[in-house]
Amino acid sequence: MTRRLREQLHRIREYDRGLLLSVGVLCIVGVVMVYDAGSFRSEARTSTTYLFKHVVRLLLGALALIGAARFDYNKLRNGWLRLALLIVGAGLVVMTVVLAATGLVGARYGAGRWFLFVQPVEIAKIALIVFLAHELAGGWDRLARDPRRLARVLAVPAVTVLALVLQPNFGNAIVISLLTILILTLSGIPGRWLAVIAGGGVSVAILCFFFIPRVHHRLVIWWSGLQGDDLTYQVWQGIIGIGAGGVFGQGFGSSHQRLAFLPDAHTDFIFAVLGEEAGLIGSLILVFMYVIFATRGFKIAREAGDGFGSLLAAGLTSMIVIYALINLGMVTSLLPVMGLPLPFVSYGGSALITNLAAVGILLNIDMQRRDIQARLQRMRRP
Amino acid sequence: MTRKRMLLTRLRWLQTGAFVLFAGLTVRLGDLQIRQHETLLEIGTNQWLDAVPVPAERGNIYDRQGRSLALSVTTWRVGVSTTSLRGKDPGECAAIADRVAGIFDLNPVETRRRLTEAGGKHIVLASRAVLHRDSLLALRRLGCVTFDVQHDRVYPQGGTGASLLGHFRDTGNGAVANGLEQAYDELLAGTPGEAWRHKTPHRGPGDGLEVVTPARDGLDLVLTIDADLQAIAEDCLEIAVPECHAIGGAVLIIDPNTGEVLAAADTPVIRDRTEAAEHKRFWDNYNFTGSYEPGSVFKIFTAASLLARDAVDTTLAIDCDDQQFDGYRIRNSEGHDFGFMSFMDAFAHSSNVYFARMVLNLRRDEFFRDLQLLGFGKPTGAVYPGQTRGLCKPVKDWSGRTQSTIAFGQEITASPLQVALAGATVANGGRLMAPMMVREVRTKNGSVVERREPVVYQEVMSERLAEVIRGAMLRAVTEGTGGKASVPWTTVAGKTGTAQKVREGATGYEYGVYIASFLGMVPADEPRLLILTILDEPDQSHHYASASAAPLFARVVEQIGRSTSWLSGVAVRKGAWRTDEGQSQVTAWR
Repeated sequence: MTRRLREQLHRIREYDRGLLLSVGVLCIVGVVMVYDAGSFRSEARTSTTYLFKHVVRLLLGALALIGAARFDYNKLRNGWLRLALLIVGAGLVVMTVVLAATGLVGARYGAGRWFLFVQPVEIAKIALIVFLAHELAGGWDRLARDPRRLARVLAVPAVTVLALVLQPNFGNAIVISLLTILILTLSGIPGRWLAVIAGGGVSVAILCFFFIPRVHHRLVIWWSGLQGDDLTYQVWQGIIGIGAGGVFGQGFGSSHQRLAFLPDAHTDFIFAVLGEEAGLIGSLILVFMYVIFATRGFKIAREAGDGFGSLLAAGLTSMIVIYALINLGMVTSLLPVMGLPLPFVSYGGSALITNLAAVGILLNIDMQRRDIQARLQRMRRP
Repeated sequence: MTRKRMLLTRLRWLQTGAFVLFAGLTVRLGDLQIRQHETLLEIGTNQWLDAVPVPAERGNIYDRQGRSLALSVTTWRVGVSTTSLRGKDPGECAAIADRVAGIFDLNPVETRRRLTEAGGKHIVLASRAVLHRDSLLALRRLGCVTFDVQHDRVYPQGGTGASLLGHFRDTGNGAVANGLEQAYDELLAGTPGEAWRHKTPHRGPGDGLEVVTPARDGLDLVLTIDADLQAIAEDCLEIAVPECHAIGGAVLIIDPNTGEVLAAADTPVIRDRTEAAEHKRFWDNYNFTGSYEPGSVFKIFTAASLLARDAVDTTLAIDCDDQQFDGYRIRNSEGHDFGFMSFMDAFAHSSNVYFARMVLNLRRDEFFRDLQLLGFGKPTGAVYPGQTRGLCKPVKDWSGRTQSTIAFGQEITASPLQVALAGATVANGGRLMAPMMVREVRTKNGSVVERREPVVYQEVMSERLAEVIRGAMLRAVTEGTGGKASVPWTTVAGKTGTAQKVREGATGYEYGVYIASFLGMVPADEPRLLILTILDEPDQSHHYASASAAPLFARVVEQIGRSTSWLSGVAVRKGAWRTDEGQSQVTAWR
């Protein structure tokens, strides 16, 4: 028993420390900030309601991380993949059902995203990345040779995005579109194809702008500045909070914005509270954590033993980075509001768990590569 | 291999792209948190915090004996934050409503309805409430009750001295004050402090006040006013005015040795402050803001000028029958035909002609300078809103007869305070005193910030001359027009004055309408009090000062002697000043 434990501890030491450090710091910041910003929510029964739920999910997430880190990611390519696809499919069906019968499921903030307290899209994202990495692991050229298979591969993200748009959940639709394009790019898709896909994406976006009032509205108010609209209120309050923080911040626990002024202070707009309390210094430390995460994640992708590992690692890292960039851009009003949480920090159960699971997969890819290298060295030595 | 390299290149591009975006984000954060920090913090502060003034407690006003004239008391504005009632069941709400209604003596049914129908608003239950400690604690325990401190003004002496003290009222959007409350507002008001009220969407009992700068309470004033004298003056005036069928009147009492104003009563005598607060004119104290022609009282000052400049032979009797002056006939009052009179008789019997003639022995500028020296036509230096400085025409505006008419107090106007202060020079041996209203300025805890001492403006006559004029005034009471001003137990020096009232909005005087006044001092040899009594438009049988203002003076002195210690020990002693002594002094003046 003790030997196994020692082995385990030894393995943890071998894990990518930069990645673990950044995720660990972000999770701790998350716990602190969820308590800080969530303790004043009027809908919470006690000041620790959100903290408690968050910590429970964090522990579940930690278990998911450990599980994923110990599970050989290559196994995802075989029978498991079908399961993953099944989950994606089931998730999509559920989502569409949700859409059709909104009376059945509580609609939150205008988007029927929730089912049994889990957002199907969170699982769908990971499953999709795994699916695309698997299909494209042999390179774009090999896939392009079989048009029927290509069509099938491209149909999966397209249907997912369509379902998300219908939900409506534009934020995640954009994330999944971006992820798909990124993985295709990495798999070696030629420039002209990329241009076609990008062009298609842009035209879809333009169509959305003109035909979906919600998108139209959000973009227009974002473009026109922050005055005089209910929707701009939240962003404006976020900006006030961040700006009021200054360089050194107002000090921990002294955010005024969290009290009643800033909606979603503990979820999507948690960064505004951090900016107010910890100032520029704290904000930059947080941003730096994501930079470390990106560096380590992409390093794992570069060094992975095979194409599948590379694409999977790059996809999962990109997912976290895209979330972080969109959330931070949205809170600082660089981007329109998309309703995406800040990974590892925001309160929001399923995302936290799946993000930590993604980190587990990343660690596993890194470990597999180290194992192979160690074995190769051992083979060379004698 | 090429595929692997392409993957690596594109991964690097991807990573670089992510870094560029993070860098852009950093720039944006710098923009928000450094460049726009000040602006956004201000916008934030405005929505988080309310700057709330912390009211300063207004200084109290005491009379010279330490009796409270005006006090600040702490009262409460009590409200209920109905947001904090939301979670409670109706029974509990009703219990709270009953409790609150019980404490403030409100209709319980009405209160219950107000609490339940308020819909999350903050409602005010009671304003200016004086709360007992127990009720305060009971209310605090309810948890939903809000308190705001208010400072209220009370006047323990009621109407006494009201028109002098004035009235202070905090209407909620700005304070209204008049009288001394207005004059000394700078000392009394204090400086309000500043506090932040942390805002929440709904007003609740949890709203904390964070005091940034504490309020500096106002300073207490100890006035020179004596509440007893003030009450006596008012009471006597209230009796005398209807007795003489006058339309108004005033009584001013000062300490001639220090210039302290001891009492300043005028009509209408205010008995109910709240009722009087509605009428602006109630609050103008005539003694400071009124101006009138002093009439024969002014002969005191003409005599002083004549004697000081040796311009009169006091032993010489001259013809005092009616005479023409610059085409204007000057008569003696009451149509007396005095014949030949000496200085002493002319003063005692108040011959206009004597002074009109004698004053011509003075050069105009000399006479004018003497009047100015006595303070006529100049501000007195008293602090009181709406004071008048009177009208003392410069020499170049004088007509042929002006000097003669001024000699018996017409064509010159002054406020009662000016006349009293000029009269005080005679009483105190020649010193023109600065009027004093405040003796001490104190902090709330009683330590003295400033103790004011009497100030002598200037020496205007010699001590001996003052004594001589007092002698003449004594005779005016014992033998002349002021007979009814005398009291049996002490000596009174004084001079009557009956001035025709100037026709309003036209030149000349109104026929048969007078202001009767009496300037007197007790005791005559060493005056302690100088009292000026004025009655406005007494009826035909009282229009001479000898029949109206002089008896009022006597009544005031009687009261003072009876119920205060101001005149204790001044009863006539054998060998004290006597009339003949005054006579011999005047005779010996040359």
